[in-house]
Amino acid sequence: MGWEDHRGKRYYYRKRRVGKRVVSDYIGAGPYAEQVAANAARAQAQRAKAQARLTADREVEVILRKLDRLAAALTRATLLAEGYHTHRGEWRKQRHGQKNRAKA
Amino acid sequence: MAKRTVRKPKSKPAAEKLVKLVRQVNTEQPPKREVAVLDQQRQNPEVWRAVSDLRELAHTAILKPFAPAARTAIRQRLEALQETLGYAESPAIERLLIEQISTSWLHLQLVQVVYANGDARWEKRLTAAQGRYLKAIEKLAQVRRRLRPDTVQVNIGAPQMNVAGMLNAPRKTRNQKKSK
Repeated sequence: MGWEDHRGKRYYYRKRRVGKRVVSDYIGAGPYAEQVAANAARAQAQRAKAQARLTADREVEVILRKLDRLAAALTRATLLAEGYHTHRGEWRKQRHGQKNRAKA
Repeated sequence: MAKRTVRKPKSKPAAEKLVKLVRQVNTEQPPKREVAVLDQQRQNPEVWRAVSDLRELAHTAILKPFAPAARTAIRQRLEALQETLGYAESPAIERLLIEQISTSWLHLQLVQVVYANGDARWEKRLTAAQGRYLKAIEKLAQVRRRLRPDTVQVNIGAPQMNVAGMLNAPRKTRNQKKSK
């Protein structure tokens, strides 16, 4: 990528997209161009690695979200089974109240 | 640019049923019959298996970039973290929440490392990971406070300690512990 042969000599070009067109910027030939090409390759490898890490983390995130949902459901189920209920987002123990106390 | 494909883990029917049931029953006055059904469902081993499978999947995915030796060391560190939270002597639901804490802690460490290396795209992920970790701690404290009423939360500086059984101890012993 970026290297082009003209009359037996290699020249390095940097490609960039301008709208629908791809524009080539001439960089040069020889050791300087080699250096620029090596830097570009290194940067591209880093970008690819970062992207792969991001994709992997997205997968982890999906699993963690699922795990959170299940753990929350199990926690709620346990509290409900233990006689708690939610009141405006807060867990409270089910009390029997005046009516039930009178019956007892 | 790499194609964004996220593989979704398959849902287990028993686990999905539990989630649905909880949504139905979680009201101000939960109907007794449905609570009984929910109680049965939460003891279904398939639900617990689904949780442990998902956790293993999450650990494998998080530890994938590490060398095998590092993976073993990290797993040992996770076990140590779980022990400090009283994993061995806790009931099943608390164990689940302790595992939740350790998993979210592990993920948070990884995200912190990537963010510290200068990838600004990870800022939102870092915030989410921190939120998940704190929420898991909050859940454990909430459950312990409700299901173990003799647990006292002691905050000394930054670390938080849950001391079980302290309320039943004689007043003198309690005060001695406090003064330390």
